[in-house]
Order: sequence, then structure tokens, then C-alpha cells
Amino acid sequence: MVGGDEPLTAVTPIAKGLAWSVLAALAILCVTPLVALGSIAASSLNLQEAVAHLTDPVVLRALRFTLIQAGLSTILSIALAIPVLIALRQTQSAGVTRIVRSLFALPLVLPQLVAALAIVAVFGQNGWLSALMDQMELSWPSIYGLAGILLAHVFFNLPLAVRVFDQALQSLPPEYEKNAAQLGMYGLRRFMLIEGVVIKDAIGGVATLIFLLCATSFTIVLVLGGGPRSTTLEVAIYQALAFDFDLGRALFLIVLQIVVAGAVVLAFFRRAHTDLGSSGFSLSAHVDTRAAMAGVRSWRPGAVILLALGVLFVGLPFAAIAIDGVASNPLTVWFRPSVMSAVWTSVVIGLSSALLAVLAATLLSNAGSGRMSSVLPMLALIFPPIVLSAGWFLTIRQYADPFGFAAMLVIVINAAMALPFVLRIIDRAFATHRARHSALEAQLGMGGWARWRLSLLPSLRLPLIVGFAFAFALSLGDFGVVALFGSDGLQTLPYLIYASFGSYRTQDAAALALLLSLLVFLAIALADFAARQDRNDLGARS
Amino acid sequence: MKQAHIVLDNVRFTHGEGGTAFVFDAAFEPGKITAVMGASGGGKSTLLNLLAGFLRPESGTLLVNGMDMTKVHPMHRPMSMIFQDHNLFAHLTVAQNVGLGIDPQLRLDVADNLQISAALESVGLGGYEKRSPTTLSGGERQRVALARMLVRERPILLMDEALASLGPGLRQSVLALVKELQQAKKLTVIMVTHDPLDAKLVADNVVFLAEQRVICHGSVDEILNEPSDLRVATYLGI
Amino acid sequence: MRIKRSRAFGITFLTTAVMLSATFTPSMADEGVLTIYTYESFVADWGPGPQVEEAFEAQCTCDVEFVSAADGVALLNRLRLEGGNGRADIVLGLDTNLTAEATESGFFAEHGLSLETTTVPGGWDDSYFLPFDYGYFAVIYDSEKIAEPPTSMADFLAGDDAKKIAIQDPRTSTPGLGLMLWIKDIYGDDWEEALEKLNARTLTVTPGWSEAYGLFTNGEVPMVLSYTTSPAYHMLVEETDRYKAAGFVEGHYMQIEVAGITVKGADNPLAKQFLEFMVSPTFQSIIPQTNWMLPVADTGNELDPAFLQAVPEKALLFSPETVAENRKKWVDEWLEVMSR
Repeated sequence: MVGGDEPLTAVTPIAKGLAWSVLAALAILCVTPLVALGSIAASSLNLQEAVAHLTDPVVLRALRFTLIQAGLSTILSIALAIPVLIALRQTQSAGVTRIVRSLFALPLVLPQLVAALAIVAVFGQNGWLSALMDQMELSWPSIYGLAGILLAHVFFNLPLAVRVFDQALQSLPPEYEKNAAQLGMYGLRRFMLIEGVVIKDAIGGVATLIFLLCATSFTIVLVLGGGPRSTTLEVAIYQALAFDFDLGRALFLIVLQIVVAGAVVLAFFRRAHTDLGSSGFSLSAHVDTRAAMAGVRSWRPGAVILLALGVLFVGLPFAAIAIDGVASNPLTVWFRPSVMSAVWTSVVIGLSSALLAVLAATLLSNAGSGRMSSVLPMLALIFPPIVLSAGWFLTIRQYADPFGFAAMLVIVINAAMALPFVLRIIDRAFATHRARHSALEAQLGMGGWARWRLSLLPSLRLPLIVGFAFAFALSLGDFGVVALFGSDGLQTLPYLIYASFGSYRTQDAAALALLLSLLVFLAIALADFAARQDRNDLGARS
Repeated sequence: MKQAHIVLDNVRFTHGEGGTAFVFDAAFEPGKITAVMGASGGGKSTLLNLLAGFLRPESGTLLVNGMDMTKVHPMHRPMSMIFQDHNLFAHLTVAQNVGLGIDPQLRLDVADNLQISAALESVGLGGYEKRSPTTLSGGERQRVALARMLVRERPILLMDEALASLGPGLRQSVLALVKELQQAKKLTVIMVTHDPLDAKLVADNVVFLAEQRVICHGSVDEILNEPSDLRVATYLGI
Repeated sequence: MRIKRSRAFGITFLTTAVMLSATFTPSMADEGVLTIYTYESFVADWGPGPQVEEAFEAQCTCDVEFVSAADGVALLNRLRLEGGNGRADIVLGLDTNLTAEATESGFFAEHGLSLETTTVPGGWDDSYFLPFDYGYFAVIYDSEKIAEPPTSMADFLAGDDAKKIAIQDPRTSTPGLGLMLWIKDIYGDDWEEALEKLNARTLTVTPGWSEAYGLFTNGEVPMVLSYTTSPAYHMLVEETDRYKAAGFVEGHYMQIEVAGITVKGADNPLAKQFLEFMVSPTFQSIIPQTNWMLPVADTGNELDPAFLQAVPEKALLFSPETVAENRKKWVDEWLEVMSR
């Protein structure tokens, strides 16, 4: 395309204005709580106290545990992802590949709370593996604490790493595969010479992403952590507010969190070009460029075992959700009034924040966001939900009952958290559209509403639906924001699950976890179905 | 190098499910350059991929010098294939890319390196060893691929639109190089092209594909200058 | 087909927008409503909440609304977070370890009710809070997993590190606070070593009692900090004596759970009415077999002997003032050791 990013269709002042207002709203959302917290702290704290926090052993331990935990999670996820990836690439069967790819896409939208329950069901003291070990008369260690946190994080991030790498490898020209086959390159050496290079390029970005996701992990640490011994900054912020009401410590922790996350982002994202958007948000299985090679590659027994282990590790928790859920007499639980109303609340919150996220992403993309779409994801990772919700909580508190604003804040913060991901999906579609049609639009003089109706919306419908479903799923499963705000006034489904799990009604928790998973996957499946319909339509037209 | 006689006997292949089957019956003269031509979708690339072993036929036999190659892995076939693009691994040096033709595990000794330099010399790229493929022009990249073909010492060269992205001048010079190498090494060359000029310039024979079959086969003169088949004539615009 | 789909798409968006605005519309009708903040297990389906709500609504023709927090201390934290802007008329579920701080916070009003109506060990003379039940903290163990239960705190702390306990966080949970004070009461200024041992014995620290007890009954951990009355639940409801309370020779720390009227609630006549109801036989008779604690007033019938077995010989309790003075410092010390 001549002229690089410069769109031929001039961006109208209105489009620009709308995009700027979205950015301004985001800035307000992120910065206000910091200013408010700062001013509260400034008026209620003296310098000495602030300095004292610098040497507060509790804060320092939280920091240390955060870094250790996130570092180990990252190393384990990536180190285990690579063999699974190699095994996956060895697979001949298109069916197996498709199933593994779909399975590995699921953890991305699985609510953390549900995952935590599932991990306990599989790996807990009373879990499946423990029962297996008992039969062999081996003792099974408890997973509460670091072990459980690592298990859950690897469960989430191993598939993520596999998918990011897998998609990065899709960028390899198919000819490489043919060349390698013809030249007789094989085994580890071949992997190092071809795939290894791509993985090496992608690894920095993937590691940064996983590190940040784990360092800011909240629900997992809250449920599977072992108390003060294994507390991350994120959880410590929540505790400083909800447990101690220690504003000084909370503020210090928030600043620390932002500094740490910001430093990691700056250190890595500058060089790494891993695309957040490529981390598997395309829901349908992509076209397999290696299809033509079927029949040439050999399928080794080692690969079968590796792949089976990976599939088991990722699949077992899902099996646990399904089996425990079905065994817990779900229908009687689901139709309780309290559950029905929680479902309603969750769905309304989910739809609203998805709508907001898609709207914001569309307005941003329409103004040719380009650079913005690479900056925004970092904001979400630097300002994790707990920081935003805690900050806003304290801000609103000065003027009104913050619990009265719970629903609104949950919606807005969830939308902001989903925005970077949605933006990636939609922005890419806009860019493609621009490249293909902007010249034509300009020539025909299509503008304003006509351009939206006749040109933009038809070609953007699919990414809009996919982005909407993704944001909906993320928001539906959110517990981080609700943890601070949730109360009987705002009971979402995850909140109910947490409460049931907490009050040893594991049956209820299992039934609710199944319900939440079904809702999330239903949304994704619908989007997937719509996507496939759309593709069929396109296919029929061409 | 021994000259290779290639025969496809009723080789059948279908892309995906429910597609129409390609059925190929053809023979390629040893020590000659054969141009494979025909409209898009006629099966040119499919034919070459079947020859190289990247696709496995549903039925039929591929014979090279009387030996059944149908089920042989691409690395064990007596052929080198050059694609339109991406023949070189972008992250390896020119020398390493050529070296892969000697040892795919890239364990190269002094003698190997000399051989690589000699091969580069003979494609006109002496001194390019340490260069990265990304700094080369399209024509130079194809020359490197030819150098690798040389060190592999396989008697058959398959070219899948290998020159399609080059301008006319570069194309002629690479074609001339191919012809020169073919003569020197007595190679059997099968090149897919849609430019009759390419064929007229270097090819001895032409195989013309249409409707997923070989519809005619003969010398360049017979096929390109006096086409008897209407489909060929239409394609050539005569 | 295409048109239909885009219309369906539009309808979805429109519906969402309508629901969104419905969510934003505040529903604030305080007329005839009594809002009670309490802890999570109180309002659970099997807790006293549902029965209490039904019984009180029957006599007040009003609407009782429970709002729950993880546990007792979290209630006070929540009031602080709200900074006096909350909805609570009554806060039910603090204990005497928190009453002095709560009174000082200024969020509560005097109840103005007679103190004679209740009988708690040690008597009652708080003009802000009234007790509704009491009990004694104890280490509950699974007799199928622990053959020789500890007989003293010292014994327990020195026990096998492989047999862990689930405890609660004193920053959110009154049982967690109780355990901390229990150890403080026994070991005084030399409690750091005791806390270190406790840390080694702890599987996890949960924010509320119910999480810890859930881990225990699920078999994730063989011991839990709860009450001497907890085995009564398993005896009377599940008819099993598998779960037992370990008696400690140093004595058991006591908990008296209380409720108080907030400054906002002082304007709501229902609040005072509820506190009167709270010490009446109707409410008190609900407590033993739902909250699994001892009643503080006449229940109208005999208490099951399973409860009386649970009263320890020696009870420990700090004065509310002592706790108020030292809680922050002690919790910091606790946290410092427990985060190691």
C-alpha cells in the first residue's frame, strides 16, 4: 500500500473527536483513582509513615512472592509449552490438531474462579490424582500455596504459549516445510533451525505477557494461595483495603504494582513484537498452511505421549467441571431464585461491558488507532482491575456510598479490561478494510453513514461479533472487580460461586461453576457459529 | 550425474474432500528442459508437488529410471525443487542455506565450505557467503537456491514458477544460468511457467495441462508455434 | 437472510442498552426496610438468617435485607470503607474484641435497651451493643486422620507439621482474631515463637470462617479453627462423632457475638425493634442449631446436651479496651510472622 498507514478516506473531525473522547475517558478511568488516592494519602499520611512502608517486611514479602511466583509460572508455562508445541506440529491428523487447538483456546475464556475450583477437584487433597496416589499408597502434597498457584497459572498459560507460538509459526512460509523435507532436515536440529527461530523471536513477548498476567493474578492467588505467606501485590492491595483499611499501605502497594508492571512492560515490549491480538482470539481454527504436507511428516510415539500429557493436563480440569457439575444435581441449583437473579445480573453486566468495549474499540479503530492499539494493552496490564476498582472505590467513597455504584463501575472496569483485546480484533479488521476498500470508498465519495452501512459494517460484522463475545466472556467470569464491590446488592455468578465454595457448599459451587462455564462457552460458540455462517456467505458469493 | 527418465503412470490426486481429481499421465525426457504450462487451476503446481513428494497420490505410480518413487520421502528422491519464493531460510546466511544441501543438520567442515563457495561462484555469487538472504535481490536469492541445488547433486531440478516474481532482465539471466547448469550437469529440468517466452528461450519440450490433465505433450516448436489443440491456441492467444 | 441477521444484531444491542440503563437506575426505597450487615455464614441457606428474616418479618410487616461480608471483622472494615455512607441500620456479628473500636469509630448509636435481658458469662454492660450468642474457640479435628489430638495449645503448636490446620485471617474474621488473641493471652509478649510454630502448622489462612471450615469438611485439611460447639452440628445433623473439639488445658478463648444500631439506623424504628427481637426466645431458639453457638437468653426450651458438653472449664477473654488498644499492633506482628 502506498503511503503506509495513511488512510485514503480522510478521518472526519467527528471520528477523531469520538476517538479522543474514548481515550480521554480511559485516561480519566485510569488516572483519577491515582490522583484521588494520592490526595487522600497526602492529607492523612506523613512522610515518615510513607518511608516506613519502604521497609515494611509484609510489603517486601508480597513483592518478592509476586516476582518469584510470576517468574516460576512463566518459566514453567513456556518450558512445558515448547515440547507440547513440537508434538502438536508433528501431528499428521488434521482432526487431532483441530481438537488440540480448540481445547487450548478454552482456558483463555474460562473464568479464573471456575479454574481454581477445577484445579482443586483434580489436584486437591481429595481430588482425582490424590485418589489415584492413595491407591498406590503414596501421599499427595497439598496444593494450597505456591504449588496450587503455579498449577493454575500453568493451566492458563501453557495453552496460551502454545497458541501464540503456533500462530507465530503459521507465519512461516509453507515452502520452508517443503524445503526442510526435501533437504532431509529432521528432529531437534530441524526444530532449532526453523521453528526455533520463530519461537526465539516470540518468546520475549510471550514471556512478558505471561509474567504480567501471573504477577497481576488475583482470583487464583486469593482462592489457592495459603494466606499471608503467599500473597501477591494484587491480593495485598485488596487486603490492605478490605482487611486492614490501611490506606497508606494500599497506596504504596498500588504504586509498587504499577512501577513493577510498568518496568516489565517497558523492558520487554519495546523489543518484542509479540502481538497480544494473536494470542488466540480468533475463535475458529485457522487455515492450516501445512495441510499440503499431510502424509510426509512422520508421527513419533514420543510426540503422541507428550501431546496426550498436554491434553490431559489442560483437559482434566474441564472434565472435572463437567463431571462434578453434572453430579451435583445442577438443575435444582440453577433454578433457585438467587441463582437466576445472579445469572441475570452477570449477563446484564457482561452484555453491557461487552457493548461498551466494542463501541470504544470501534470508535478508536475508526480514527485509525494504529499506534494506540499497541499502547493500550499495556495500560490494562499495568492498571489491573483491582487497582482501578480500589482507586475508584476510595474516590467515590468521599462523596457517596460506593456500593451504590458497584454495577456501573464493574461494567466500566470490565469493559476497560476487555478493550485491549477487543481493540486488537477490531483494529485489525479496520486495517484490512482500509487497505482493501479505502481507495474505492474515496473514489465513490462514500462517507458518513452510507460508508458505515454499505461498506464498513458488512465487512466488520464478524470481528464485532467475535470481539463482543470475547468481552462478554471475560466480563461474565470476572471476579477481581466484584470481589471488592460485590455484596448482596450485586451478586454476580462468580460472586455466588465464591460464596458457595467458601461456605463448604461444594455441590452448589460445582453446579454454578458448570453453569458459568456453559454460559461463557455458549457465547463463544455462538460467535464461532456466526463467524462460520459469515464465511460460508462469503464463500457462496465469491 | 545420471540422466533421469521420469514417468507418471495414471497418478491421481484430489485436493480436499469432494474436489475433482487430477489424473496425470506423462513422461519427461532425460537430460532435457521441459516447460509445464497451462491456465491457473490446471494442475501445474500439483504436478510438481506430486513429483517432489510433497503430495502423496491416491493411486498411480511415479517411476524415475524405472524405480518406483511413489512412496519415497521427498529427501530421498533424486530431485531438488525451487519455489517462487521462500527458498532460503531468512535467518540463516547464504552459506548456511547452501550448506543445508550438504548436511541438513548443518555440521559443515572446511571441505564443505569450499564446496559451498565453489557453488556460489558458479551461480555468480562469489563472496556472498556471509550475506543474509534479506539483503539479496529476488534474482540473487534464486541463484542461491540454484547453488544449493548444485551441492545436492540431484539429477532432477523442479522449478515451480521460480522466476515469476523477477523482472524480464533478471529472468533472462537466471534462465540462462539454469540452461548453462543444465547443460553442464546433464540435468533433467521441469519448470512451471506461464510465459511462453521462458519456454522458447530454454525449454526443449512442453507439457500442457488443462482440465486437470495433460492434454498435449511435445517439442516447444510443436506446442507453442503450431498448436494443434484449440485450448493451447486460446491460452497462447494465437 | 443478511438483513434479518443485521436486524437481530441491532435488537441485541438495543436490548443490552435498555438493560444497561435499568441497572443504572438506583432503587432506593428505605420505607419499611431494615438493612442488616452480617457475616456470610449467618445468611447462608443453612444459617440463622433465613429463619430470622421470616420470623421478624412476620411480626414487623417490614422487609429485612441482609448484606453480608466475609466475616465479623470484615463488617467493621466495610463500615470504614463506606465511611458512614453505607446502608446498614444494624450490624450483626461483631464480637467483644471489636466493640470498643466500633464504638470509637462513631458509626454506632446507643441502643437504649435494657441490659438485664441477656445472660452471658461475665455479665453485660455495653450501651452500644447487645450480645446475641457466644461460644468458645477450639481446634476441631478429624478423628479419622488424627488419632492423638493435642491436649494443650503448647501441645498443638509443637505438633506434627504434616498434620496441618486451616485458620482464619484476624484482619477479616472474628475466629481468626480469636485465635490470635488466644495465643496472645497464653504467651503474652513471648508469642513470636508460638506464632512461628503456628505458621509452620498452617495450611492456609482464609478470610472467613466458612472457607476454612469448608476445607476441613472437604478433607483438604485435618484440623480447623472453629468453636467447641461445632461438633454438635455433626452429631445432631450428620449423626457422626467423627469431628471432635480438642480440649486445651490453658483454657479456651471466648467469643461473645454482638449486634448494634448504626447512626443511620437510629432513625429507623425497626432497628430497635429488631434488637429486642434478637434477645427474645424466638430468635434465641433459632441460634443453637443454625449458628451452632450458645444462646444468650431464654430459648423457651431445653438446650441439647451436645451443646453443654462443649463448655470448657476455663475461659479466656481480653477486655474490649485492651483489644482496641492493641489490635492493630498485634495484627501487624501476626502478619509479620505469618508472611514469612
